This record gives sequence, C-alpha cells and structure tokens, in this order.
Amino acid sequence: MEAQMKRGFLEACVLAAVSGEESYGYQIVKDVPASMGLTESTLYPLLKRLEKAGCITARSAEHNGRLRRYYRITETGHERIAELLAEWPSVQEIYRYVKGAHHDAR
Amino acid sequence: MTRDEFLNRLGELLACLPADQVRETQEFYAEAIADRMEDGMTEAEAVAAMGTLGEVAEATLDELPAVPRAIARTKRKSTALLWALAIVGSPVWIPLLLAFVAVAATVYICIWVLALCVWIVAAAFGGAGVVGLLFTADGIIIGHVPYVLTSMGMGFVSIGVALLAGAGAWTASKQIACLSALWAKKAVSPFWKDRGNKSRRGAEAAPLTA
Repeated sequence: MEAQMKRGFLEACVLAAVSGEESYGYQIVKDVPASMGLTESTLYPLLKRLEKAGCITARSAEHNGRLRRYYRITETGHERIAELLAEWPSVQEIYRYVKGAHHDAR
Repeated sequence: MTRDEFLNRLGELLACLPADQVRETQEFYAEAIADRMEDGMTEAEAVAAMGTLGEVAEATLDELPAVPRAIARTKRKSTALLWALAIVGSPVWIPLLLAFVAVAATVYICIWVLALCVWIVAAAFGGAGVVGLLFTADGIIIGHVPYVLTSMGMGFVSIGVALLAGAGAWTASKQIACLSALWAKKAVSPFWKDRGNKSRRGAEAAPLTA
C-alpha cells in the first residue's frame, strides 16, 4: 500500500479503535485490522502525533500493579474521522477510474 | 533478548533525544511487552514482537523535524562523527544557515511592509480629508461659496476613501497576519515540527481507576 495512503488509513483505524471505550497500546494493535500491519513501533509515533494534534487524550492508570496508558478520542478526533470518511467517495471514484482504465487496456 | 536488555539498548539508541522523551518511549514499550506477556507470550516472544531495535529507534526518530533528525541519526552513529561533520562542514552550513535566516526574515518583513503600505495609503487619504475640511473653514471665513463647496466635497470624499481604505487595510492586516504566521511555521519546519495544529484541549484527562 502506498505510504501516504497507508498513513491516512492507519490514523483512521487508530482513531476508530479508541472511539468507543478508551483503549491501550496492545489492545489497539489487536483491534486494528491485521492487513494494516500495525505494530507497536508504528503505533507509538502515531499516538504521539494524534495526542499532539488534540485528536486523542491519554491518561495513566494502574493495572496489575503497573501503570498502563489509556487513550480516548476527542471531539477533534471525531471530526478527523468524519473528514477521512468524507474523502471516501473520491477514493472510490479514483479506484473505479483506475480499474476501468486498466481493464480497457487489457 | 530480555525486556530489560531491549529497553536499555533502546535508551542507548535514543540517547540523542531529551531524557524525558527517552523515558516515555521506554515506558510505552515496557507496557507493550508486559501486555503481550499477560496475553500468554514468553518474555522473548514479547520482545521479538516489538520488531528490531533499529526499526523501533528509527520509527521514533522519524517523528523529528528534518534537521534535528539528521543530527540525531549522525549522533547515534558516533558523537565524534557529528562533531567532525559540524566542524569540517562549517564553511558550508554556517553561510547556508545565515542565508536561510536572512531570506526567512526578509520575506517576513516584506509581508508586513505590504500591510504598512495599505495603512499609509489610508492615513494619507484621511490627512487629505482633514486638510480639505480645514480649507472649507477657510472658505467660510473668506465667504467664497464655490471654494467652500469644492473643499468640503474633496474633504468628505477623501475621508470616505480613507475609511474604505482603512477597512481594507484592517482586513488585509488580518490576512497578512495569517500569512506571516504560515510563513514563520514553514520557515521553522526543518527545525521544529508542529503536527498538532489543533489545540491540546483535554490532553491530560483526570485520572480514573482502571
């Protein structure tokens, strides 16, 4: 998958993963579709970026005698998801065009 | 590799970053390893699932702006190499840096000079309007009606244009303020990355129990 497109999809997936109840790193890795290939090393910078952009909030809470960091989506994050979803029709249009052109060429 | 070995080595690889950033990164990976072990993995498996140390360090450094990233990567390879490059390359990078600062400052000043020009035009019309009204007063004193009417007309027209130009200058100034902020952001982007374009509202939520 093209890097920039994958980055956008990953961002949407991570926001979606924390859009219901708050979640934590490993749970997010498990929740995001495996096809995205999300790992902790990809997730960490992404979470920092989203937190800095005000799309998610983070808090530390005790879990089994250690601290675990929980993330939750903010209103800005919901707006970001809505923006990404609004782009979907144009992505579909591009897909149809490329597919049609590819099919005609064969 | 054990969890502690992984985290210590990661700390060494990220030594070029501020200490609190390194600690925060280590805590994230310590938590991820602990969560995977809770999920049934062995310590070695959980550490291996994080990816190679090089990948993990690179992913963290990738978030830095261009210039600090280049410095961090060079420093990671060797601090001596960084100093050697900084000293040997100084005849190149110092003039380049000065030129960059000069260009950035010049563009910034030019943007604001534009706004100043519009305000000067507005002020000039305002001044002309006041003078026109003063001439009107003179005309009244000498009792010359056509002169009074002409001066009054010119005075009011000038004041009207000044008000319009002032309103335009105010709008232009606001636009230019946005433009200059955008330029300042672009100028510092190689050194300082600000992806957080929205406010950090609620960045730290109140602690709750797990």
